[in-house]
Amino acid sequence: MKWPKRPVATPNRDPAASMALLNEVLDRPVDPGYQTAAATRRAEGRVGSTSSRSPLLIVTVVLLGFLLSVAALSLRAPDLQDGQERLELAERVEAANVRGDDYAVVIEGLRADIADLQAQAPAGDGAELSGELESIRAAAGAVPVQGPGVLITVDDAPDEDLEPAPEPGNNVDRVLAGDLSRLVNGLWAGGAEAISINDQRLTATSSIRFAGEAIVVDFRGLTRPYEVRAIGDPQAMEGVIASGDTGQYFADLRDDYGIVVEWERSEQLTAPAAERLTTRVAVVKEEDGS
Amino acid sequence: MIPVFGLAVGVVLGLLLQPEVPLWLEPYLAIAVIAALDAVFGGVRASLEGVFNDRVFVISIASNVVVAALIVFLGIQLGVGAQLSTGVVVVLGLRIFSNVASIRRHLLGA
Repeated sequence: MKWPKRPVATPNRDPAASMALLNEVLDRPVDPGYQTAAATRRAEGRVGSTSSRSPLLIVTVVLLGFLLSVAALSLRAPDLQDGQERLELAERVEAANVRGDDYAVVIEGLRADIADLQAQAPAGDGAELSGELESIRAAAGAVPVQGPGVLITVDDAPDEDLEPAPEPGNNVDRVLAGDLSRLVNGLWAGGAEAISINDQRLTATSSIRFAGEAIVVDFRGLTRPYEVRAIGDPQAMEGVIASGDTGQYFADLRDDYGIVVEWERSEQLTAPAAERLTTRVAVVKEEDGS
Repeated sequence: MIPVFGLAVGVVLGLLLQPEVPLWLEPYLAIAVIAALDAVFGGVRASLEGVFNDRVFVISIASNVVVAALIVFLGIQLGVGAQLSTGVVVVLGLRIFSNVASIRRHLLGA
Protein backbone atom coordinates (compact mmCIF):
# COMPACT_ATOMS: atom_id res chain seq x y z
CA MET A 1 0.00 0.00 0.00
CA LYS A 2 1.24 3.42 -0.88
CA TRP A 3 0.62 6.55 1.02
CA PRO A 4 -0.51 9.50 -1.02
CA LYS A 5 2.22 12.03 -1.33
CA ARG A 6 1.57 15.07 0.68
CA PRO A 7 3.28 18.40 0.58
CA VAL A 8 5.79 18.74 3.39
CA ALA A 9 6.11 22.00 5.20
CA THR A 10 9.66 23.23 4.95
CA PRO A 11 10.22 25.80 7.63
CA ASN A 12 12.34 28.58 6.26
CA ARG A 13 13.50 29.80 9.61
CA ASP A 14 15.07 33.13 10.12
CA PRO A 15 18.30 32.31 11.99
CA ALA A 16 17.64 35.30 14.24
CA ALA A 17 14.04 34.34 14.97
CA SER A 18 14.77 33.87 18.63
CA MET A 19 15.85 37.50 18.75
CA ALA A 20 12.51 38.72 17.41
CA LEU A 21 11.29 39.90 20.78
CA LEU A 22 14.50 41.82 21.49
CA ASN A 23 14.34 43.42 18.04
CA GLU A 24 10.73 44.33 18.67
CA VAL A 25 11.80 46.08 21.86
CA LEU A 26 14.97 47.77 20.61
CA ASP A 27 14.38 48.57 16.94
CA ARG A 28 10.69 48.97 16.42
CA PRO A 29 9.87 51.40 13.64
CA VAL A 30 7.63 54.34 14.40
CA ASP A 31 3.92 53.58 14.11
CA PRO A 32 3.12 52.96 10.40
CA GLY A 33 0.12 55.30 10.65
CA TYR A 34 2.41 58.27 11.20
CA GLN A 35 4.64 57.29 8.26
CA THR A 36 1.69 56.98 5.86
CA ALA A 37 0.15 60.27 6.95
CA ALA A 38 3.48 62.05 6.63
CA ALA A 39 4.09 60.54 3.17
CA THR A 40 0.65 61.77 2.00
CA ARG A 41 1.31 65.27 3.30
CA ARG A 42 4.74 65.37 1.66
CA ALA A 43 3.22 64.22 -1.60
CA GLU A 44 0.83 67.21 -1.35
CA GLY A 45 3.82 69.45 -0.93
CA ARG A 46 3.45 70.22 2.76
CA VAL A 47 5.66 69.55 5.79
CA GLY A 48 5.48 65.96 7.10
CA SER A 49 4.55 66.99 10.62
CA THR A 50 1.38 68.81 11.59
CA SER A 51 1.38 71.73 13.97
CA SER A 52 1.41 71.01 17.70
CA ARG A 53 -1.24 73.67 18.28
CA SER A 54 -4.25 72.14 16.60
CA PRO A 55 -7.41 72.33 18.79
CA LEU A 56 -7.94 68.58 18.42
CA LEU A 57 -4.53 67.87 19.94
CA ILE A 58 -4.97 70.33 22.79
CA VAL A 59 -8.37 68.96 23.76
CA THR A 60 -7.00 65.41 23.67
CA VAL A 61 -4.02 66.34 25.80
CA VAL A 62 -6.18 68.07 28.44
CA LEU A 63 -8.42 64.99 28.58
CA LEU A 64 -5.32 62.83 28.96
CA GLY A 65 -4.04 64.85 31.94
CA PHE A 66 -7.50 64.63 33.49
CA LEU A 67 -7.50 60.84 33.04
CA LEU A 68 -4.04 60.57 34.60
CA SER A 69 -4.87 62.50 37.77
CA VAL A 70 -8.29 60.87 38.18
CA ALA A 71 -6.72 57.41 37.87
CA ALA A 72 -3.98 58.30 40.34
CA LEU A 73 -6.49 59.70 42.86
CA SER A 74 -9.10 56.97 42.67
CA LEU A 75 -6.71 54.02 42.64
CA ARG A 76 -4.67 55.25 45.58
CA ALA A 77 -7.05 56.85 48.11
CA PRO A 78 -8.74 54.00 50.10
CA ASP A 79 -5.65 52.76 51.91
CA LEU A 80 -5.02 56.11 53.57
CA GLN A 81 -8.62 56.39 54.77
CA ASP A 82 -8.48 52.94 56.34
CA GLY A 83 -5.37 53.85 58.31
CA GLN A 84 -7.01 57.02 59.59
CA GLU A 85 -10.13 55.20 60.76
CA ARG A 86 -8.14 52.47 62.49
CA LEU A 87 -6.10 55.09 64.35
CA GLU A 88 -9.25 56.84 65.52
CA LEU A 89 -10.75 53.57 66.74
CA ALA A 90 -7.57 52.70 68.65
CA GLU A 91 -7.65 56.11 70.31
CA ARG A 92 -11.26 55.66 71.37
CA VAL A 93 -10.53 52.20 72.81
CA GLU A 94 -7.62 53.63 74.79
CA ALA A 95 -9.71 56.50 76.12
CA ALA A 96 -12.45 54.06 77.21
CA ASN A 97 -9.86 51.89 79.00
CA VAL A 98 -8.51 54.87 80.92
CA ARG A 99 -12.04 55.84 81.94
CA GLY A 100 -12.68 52.28 83.13
CA ASP A 101 -9.51 52.36 85.25
CA ASP A 102 -10.60 55.66 86.81
CA TYR A 103 -13.98 54.20 87.73
CA ALA A 104 -12.26 51.16 89.30
CA VAL A 105 -10.33 53.50 91.62
CA VAL A 106 -13.57 55.28 92.56
CA ILE A 107 -15.26 51.94 93.32
CA GLU A 108 -12.35 50.95 95.51
CA GLY A 109 -12.67 54.18 97.50
CA LEU A 110 -16.41 53.83 97.98
CA ARG A 111 -16.03 50.25 99.20
CA ALA A 112 -13.46 51.39 101.76
CA ASP A 113 -15.98 53.99 102.97
CA ILE A 114 -18.67 51.30 103.31
CA ALA A 115 -16.29 49.08 105.28
CA ASP A 116 -15.47 51.98 107.64
CA LEU A 117 -19.13 52.75 108.22
CA GLN A 118 -19.90 49.12 108.94
CA ALA A 119 -17.04 48.96 111.46
CA GLN A 120 -18.62 51.91 113.28
CA ALA A 121 -21.95 50.11 113.60
CA PRO A 122 -22.99 49.53 117.22
CA ALA A 123 -21.88 46.23 118.72
CA GLY A 124 -24.40 43.82 120.16
CA ASP A 125 -26.83 41.88 118.07
CA GLY A 126 -25.00 42.99 114.96
CA ALA A 127 -21.64 41.53 115.98
CA GLU A 128 -22.64 38.00 115.15
CA LEU A 129 -24.16 39.07 111.85
CA SER A 130 -21.20 41.19 110.84
CA GLY A 131 -18.87 38.17 111.20
CA GLU A 132 -21.13 36.25 108.86
CA LEU A 133 -21.29 39.22 106.51
CA GLU A 134 -17.47 39.31 106.44
CA SER A 135 -17.15 35.72 105.29
CA ILE A 136 -19.90 36.13 102.68
CA ARG A 137 -18.21 39.21 101.31
CA ALA A 138 -14.92 37.34 101.01
CA ALA A 139 -16.63 34.52 99.11
CA ALA A 140 -18.44 36.93 96.80
CA GLY A 141 -15.23 38.77 95.95
CA ALA A 142 -16.25 42.09 97.47
CA VAL A 143 -13.09 42.44 99.56
CA PRO A 144 -9.44 41.64 98.81
CA VAL A 145 -8.34 38.30 100.24
CA GLN A 146 -4.89 37.53 101.60
CA GLY A 147 -3.49 34.20 102.59
CA PRO A 148 -1.40 31.19 101.62
CA GLY A 149 -1.94 29.63 98.24
CA VAL A 150 -0.39 28.75 94.91
CA LEU A 151 0.74 31.05 92.10
CA ILE A 152 0.33 29.30 88.73
CA THR A 153 1.85 30.77 85.58
CA VAL A 154 0.46 29.60 82.23
CA ASP A 155 1.95 30.82 78.95
CA ASP A 156 1.99 30.10 75.21
CA ALA A 157 4.69 27.79 73.87
CA PRO A 158 8.07 29.57 73.50
CA ASP A 159 8.60 31.00 70.01
CA GLU A 160 11.26 28.53 68.92
CA ASP A 161 8.84 25.67 69.57
CA LEU A 162 6.05 27.27 67.59
CA GLU A 163 5.08 25.22 64.62
CA PRO A 164 3.16 26.85 61.81
CA ALA A 165 -0.53 26.53 62.52
CA PRO A 166 -2.35 24.03 60.30
CA GLU A 167 -4.73 26.84 59.39
CA PRO A 168 -4.38 30.51 60.24
CA GLY A 169 -6.29 31.71 63.28
CA ASN A 170 -6.28 28.27 64.87
CA ASN A 171 -2.91 28.12 66.55
CA VAL A 172 -2.76 25.04 68.76
CA ASP A 173 0.38 26.19 70.57
CA ARG A 174 -1.44 28.96 72.41
CA VAL A 175 -3.28 28.99 75.70
CA LEU A 176 -7.01 28.90 75.03
CA ALA A 177 -9.83 30.29 77.13
CA GLY A 178 -10.98 26.70 77.66
CA ASP A 179 -7.63 25.80 79.24
CA LEU A 180 -7.91 28.63 81.74
CA SER A 181 -11.50 27.88 82.68
CA ARG A 182 -10.58 24.22 83.14
CA LEU A 183 -7.78 25.21 85.48
CA VAL A 184 -10.04 27.57 87.42
CA ASN A 185 -12.81 24.99 87.73
CA GLY A 186 -10.28 22.47 89.01
CA LEU A 187 -9.07 24.95 91.61
CA TRP A 188 -12.61 25.75 92.81
CA ALA A 189 -13.28 22.02 93.07
CA GLY A 190 -10.03 21.65 95.04
CA GLY A 191 -11.31 24.09 97.67
CA ALA A 192 -9.88 27.44 96.59
CA GLU A 193 -11.29 30.37 98.57
CA ALA A 194 -10.41 33.10 96.07
CA ILE A 195 -8.91 33.06 92.57
CA SER A 196 -7.59 35.87 90.43
CA ILE A 197 -6.17 35.85 86.90
CA ASN A 198 -3.74 38.69 86.16
CA ASP A 199 -5.23 40.65 89.10
CA GLN A 200 -8.80 40.12 87.90
CA ARG A 201 -10.73 38.56 90.77
CA LEU A 202 -13.05 35.78 89.70
CA THR A 203 -16.52 35.71 91.23
CA ALA A 204 -19.54 33.50 90.81
CA THR A 205 -20.58 35.53 87.75
CA SER A 206 -17.18 35.80 86.05
CA SER A 207 -16.72 34.69 82.47
CA ILE A 208 -13.60 33.48 80.67
CA ARG A 209 -13.97 33.85 76.92
CA PHE A 210 -12.25 34.38 73.61
CA ALA A 211 -12.54 37.66 71.74
CA GLY A 212 -10.63 37.38 68.51
CA GLU A 213 -7.16 36.21 69.52
CA ALA A 214 -7.26 37.43 73.12
CA ILE A 215 -8.58 35.80 76.26
CA VAL A 216 -11.18 37.98 77.93
CA VAL A 217 -12.05 37.73 81.63
CA ASP A 218 -15.10 39.73 82.70
CA PHE A 219 -14.90 41.74 79.43
CA ARG A 220 -11.28 42.73 79.98
CA GLY A 221 -8.60 41.49 77.61
CA LEU A 222 -5.62 39.76 79.22
CA THR A 223 -2.04 39.69 78.01
CA ARG A 224 0.20 36.68 78.42
CA PRO A 225 1.65 35.25 80.59
CA TYR A 226 -1.46 34.39 82.57
CA GLU A 227 -0.84 34.45 86.35
CA VAL A 228 -3.47 32.56 88.31
CA ARG A 229 -3.47 33.17 92.07
CA ALA A 230 -5.42 30.60 94.02
CA ILE A 231 -5.82 31.22 97.74
CA GLY A 232 -6.58 28.18 99.83
CA ASP A 233 -4.84 25.19 101.29
CA PRO A 234 -1.54 25.17 99.34
CA GLN A 235 -1.25 21.40 99.58
CA ALA A 236 -4.68 20.83 98.09
CA MET A 237 -4.11 23.49 95.38
CA GLU A 238 -0.85 21.88 94.37
CA GLY A 239 -2.55 18.51 94.32
CA VAL A 240 -5.06 19.82 91.79
CA ILE A 241 -2.38 20.95 89.35
CA ALA A 242 0.02 18.07 89.83
CA SER A 243 -2.45 15.21 89.66
CA GLY A 244 -6.06 14.41 89.03
CA ASP A 245 -8.01 15.33 85.89
CA THR A 246 -6.81 18.91 85.73
CA GLY A 247 -3.23 17.86 86.36
CA GLN A 248 -3.39 15.28 83.59
CA TYR A 249 -4.91 17.83 81.20
CA PHE A 250 -2.10 20.33 81.77
CA ALA A 251 0.57 17.65 81.61
CA ASP A 252 -0.77 16.77 78.15
CA LEU A 253 -0.74 20.45 77.10
CA ARG A 254 2.85 20.72 78.24
CA ASP A 255 4.05 17.54 76.56
CA ASP A 256 2.09 17.77 73.30
CA TYR A 257 2.00 21.51 72.59
CA GLY A 258 4.88 22.93 74.64
CA ILE A 259 2.60 25.21 76.65
CA VAL A 260 4.34 26.55 79.76
CA VAL A 261 2.72 25.60 83.09
CA GLU A 262 4.60 26.50 86.28
CA TRP A 263 3.50 26.85 89.88
CA GLU A 264 4.93 27.74 93.26
CA ARG A 265 3.57 27.75 96.78
CA SER A 266 3.35 31.03 98.57
CA GLU A 267 2.55 31.88 102.17
CA GLN A 268 1.29 35.33 101.30
CA LEU A 269 -0.84 35.84 98.22
CA THR A 270 -3.28 38.68 97.59
CA ALA A 271 -6.37 38.52 95.40
CA PRO A 272 -7.88 41.99 94.79
CA ALA A 273 -11.56 42.74 95.16
CA ALA A 274 -13.72 42.20 92.08
CA GLU A 275 -14.62 45.30 90.10
CA ARG A 276 -18.16 44.27 89.32
CA LEU A 277 -20.48 42.75 91.89
CA THR A 278 -23.88 43.45 90.41
CA THR A 279 -26.11 40.48 89.86
CA ARG A 280 -28.62 40.27 87.12
CA VAL A 281 -32.14 39.30 88.01
CA ALA A 282 -34.21 37.31 85.58
CA VAL A 283 -37.99 37.50 85.70
CA VAL A 284 -40.24 34.84 84.26
CA LYS A 285 -42.18 36.36 81.42
CA GLU A 286 -45.91 36.30 81.99
CA GLU A 287 -47.58 34.11 79.47
CA ASP A 288 -50.29 35.66 77.38
CA GLY A 289 -53.88 34.56 77.86
CA SER A 290 -53.39 32.70 81.14
CA MET B 1 5.33 73.21 24.53
CA ILE B 2 1.60 73.78 24.25
CA PRO B 3 0.68 70.06 24.55
CA VAL B 4 2.73 69.84 27.78
CA PHE B 5 0.89 72.89 29.11
CA GLY B 6 -2.43 71.26 28.17
CA LEU B 7 -1.43 68.10 30.03
CA ALA B 8 -0.67 70.14 33.16
CA VAL B 9 -4.06 71.90 32.86
CA GLY B 10 -5.76 68.48 32.64
CA VAL B 11 -3.94 67.17 35.72
CA VAL B 12 -4.86 70.27 37.75
CA LEU B 13 -8.47 69.97 36.56
CA GLY B 14 -8.61 66.36 37.77
CA LEU B 15 -7.13 67.32 41.14
CA LEU B 16 -9.63 70.15 41.58
CA LEU B 17 -12.77 68.32 40.48
CA GLN B 18 -11.92 64.93 42.05
CA PRO B 19 -14.75 63.07 40.29
CA GLU B 20 -16.10 59.92 41.91
CA VAL B 21 -15.16 56.88 39.81
CA PRO B 22 -17.68 54.01 40.01
CA LEU B 23 -16.20 50.77 41.32
CA TRP B 24 -16.84 48.72 38.17
CA LEU B 25 -14.78 51.18 36.15
CA GLU B 26 -11.61 50.86 38.25
CA PRO B 27 -10.03 47.83 36.51
CA TYR B 28 -10.45 49.62 33.18
CA LEU B 29 -9.00 52.87 34.49
CA ALA B 30 -5.50 51.54 35.13
CA ILE B 31 -5.40 49.76 31.77
CA ALA B 32 -6.70 52.88 30.00
CA VAL B 33 -3.92 54.96 31.54
CA ILE B 34 -1.25 52.52 30.34
CA ALA B 35 -2.76 52.33 26.86
CA ALA B 36 -2.86 56.13 26.67
CA LEU B 37 0.76 56.36 27.84
CA ASP B 38 1.77 54.00 25.02
CA ALA B 39 0.09 56.25 22.46
CA VAL B 40 1.65 59.36 24.02
CA PHE B 41 5.18 57.98 23.78
CA GLY B 42 4.46 56.92 20.19
CA GLY B 43 3.37 60.48 19.44
CA VAL B 44 6.42 62.04 21.11
CA ARG B 45 8.67 59.77 19.07
CA ALA B 46 6.85 60.63 15.84
CA SER B 47 7.17 64.35 16.51
CA LEU B 48 10.91 63.90 17.13
CA GLU B 49 11.18 62.13 13.78
CA GLY B 50 9.21 64.90 12.10
CA VAL B 51 6.21 62.82 11.12
CA PHE B 52 3.76 63.78 13.84
CA ASN B 53 0.09 63.94 12.83
CA ASP B 54 -2.61 65.01 15.25
CA ARG B 55 -5.35 62.87 13.68
CA VAL B 56 -3.22 59.74 13.85
CA PHE B 57 -2.30 60.59 17.44
CA VAL B 58 -5.90 60.99 18.60
CA ILE B 59 -7.06 57.88 16.77
CA SER B 60 -4.20 55.81 18.19
CA ILE B 61 -5.05 56.91 21.75
CA ALA B 62 -8.75 56.20 21.30
CA SER B 63 -8.23 52.81 19.67
CA ASN B 64 -5.60 51.81 22.26
CA VAL B 65 -7.91 52.64 25.14
CA VAL B 66 -10.94 50.97 23.56
CA VAL B 67 -9.10 47.78 22.58
CA ALA B 68 -7.43 47.50 26.00
CA ALA B 69 -10.78 47.99 27.73
CA LEU B 70 -12.39 45.39 25.47
CA ILE B 71 -9.71 42.83 26.25
CA VAL B 72 -10.10 43.42 29.99
CA PHE B 73 -13.90 43.27 29.68
CA LEU B 74 -13.67 39.97 27.83
CA GLY B 75 -11.25 38.66 30.48
CA ILE B 76 -13.63 39.62 33.29
CA GLN B 77 -16.53 37.89 31.53
CA LEU B 78 -14.42 34.73 31.10
CA GLY B 79 -13.09 34.83 34.66
CA VAL B 80 -9.48 35.52 33.65
CA GLY B 81 -9.61 39.32 34.05
CA ALA B 82 -6.45 39.55 36.15
CA GLN B 83 -4.39 37.41 33.74
CA LEU B 84 -5.53 39.28 30.64
CA SER B 85 -4.87 42.61 32.37
CA THR B 86 -1.32 41.39 33.04
CA GLY B 87 -0.99 40.43 29.37
CA VAL B 88 -2.13 43.89 28.23
CA VAL B 89 0.29 45.55 30.65
CA VAL B 90 3.20 43.41 29.39
CA VAL B 91 2.51 44.13 25.71
CA LEU B 92 1.96 47.85 26.21
CA GLY B 93 4.96 47.99 28.54
CA LEU B 94 7.18 46.51 25.81
CA ARG B 95 5.95 49.11 23.33
CA ILE B 96 6.50 51.93 25.81
CA PHE B 97 10.06 50.68 26.39
CA SER B 98 10.90 50.58 22.70
CA ASN B 99 9.44 54.03 22.07
CA VAL B 100 11.27 55.51 25.06
CA ALA B 101 14.49 53.89 23.83
CA SER B 102 14.21 55.61 20.45
CA ILE B 103 13.19 58.92 22.06
CA ARG B 104 16.35 58.62 24.13
CA ARG B 105 18.38 58.02 20.98
CA HIS B 106 16.92 61.15 19.42
CA LEU B 107 17.42 63.39 22.43
CA LEU B 108 20.73 62.12 23.83
CA GLY B 109 22.18 60.57 20.69
CA ALA B 110 22.87 57.32 22.52
